[in-house]
Amino acid sequence: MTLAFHIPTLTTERLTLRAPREADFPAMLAFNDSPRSAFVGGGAPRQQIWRGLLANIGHWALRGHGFYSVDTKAGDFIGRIGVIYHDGWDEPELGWHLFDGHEGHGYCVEAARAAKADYHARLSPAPLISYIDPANPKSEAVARRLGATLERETVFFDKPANVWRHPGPEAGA
Amino acid sequence: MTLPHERPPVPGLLADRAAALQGALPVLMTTRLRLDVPDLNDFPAWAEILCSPRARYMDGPYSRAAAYTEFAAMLGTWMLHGHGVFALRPHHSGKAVGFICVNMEPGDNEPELGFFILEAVENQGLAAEAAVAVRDWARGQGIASLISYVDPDNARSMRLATRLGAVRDPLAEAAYAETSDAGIAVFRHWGVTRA
Repeated sequence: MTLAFHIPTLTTERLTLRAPREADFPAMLAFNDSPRSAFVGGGAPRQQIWRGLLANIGHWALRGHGFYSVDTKAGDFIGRIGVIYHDGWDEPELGWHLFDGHEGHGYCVEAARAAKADYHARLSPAPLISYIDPANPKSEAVARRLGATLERETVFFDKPANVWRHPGPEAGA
Repeated sequence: MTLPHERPPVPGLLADRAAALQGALPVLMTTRLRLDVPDLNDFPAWAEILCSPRARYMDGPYSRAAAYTEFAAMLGTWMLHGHGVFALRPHHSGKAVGFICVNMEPGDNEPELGFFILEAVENQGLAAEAAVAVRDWARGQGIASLISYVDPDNARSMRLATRLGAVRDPLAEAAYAETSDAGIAVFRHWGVTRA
């Protein structure tokens, strides 16, 4: 068996969404070690972050989608955004996290729109969800700007989480 | 009825290779459009434009066979030059409604930004939205100069080129004075005139 897969490169007005690579590891570690990662299982052991980097590449190979690494036009790696569907997830999720110092520019919304449109164009028109910690208003604001609405409350990996539902591709980007 | 050479490959090794080649090329995302590299499923839209009177300003209308040759040449440009044609796909449908090319064809003195869309989607600003994205992408790729060749009788394209901020380049136009393309308008997006 040959495992051949391709990770697209998406270009938006200000950002590039690209395949993950080993050089992303230090920035992912720094994020994990910062308070910003509190809502996405932060403070994990270094080995788990490494496995997360590799598992995401495996997710791309298995499902044809996953987290993109997001760069600015200047080449700064600013976060990871994409559609993930790991064991334990109810449905494919549009997820995002932006590294320290890159908030307030609308980058998260711009990249998430591109990743969402790419998922619908290549894989499925089924509307996506986002799991968001109820105590994470910044992420809720991103969800709202993407047109998502609060659908239900749930428990996700032993913690309360809200399920936000995104509009499908018919609603435009 | 599509002709044999217009049919996409059946699922299998060859289809996978074609998809992998296409998948390795860039995708641009705008508010309303996905811009990616077309495949044979998009040939009907391409032929609809090139085989119609809409192609009168681009050496057409073409026969369907000649339109296929143009399509193949434009896709081959990706392999030869690293730039080429993008399909315009509204996010809601995914169906190609037009094409934007970064060309380098016989007779071109420098890379050209070209654009054409289906009549049904005119007057929505889609060509402009796509042209801005492809132009900015081309700049980021390090293309040293970029122009658009426009037939002066093509009022819509003349307006679009102007709206993109490109300006007429008299020196570049003069280079065509003694050729069959005499009178062509050359709009410059950036770079210097090559004599």
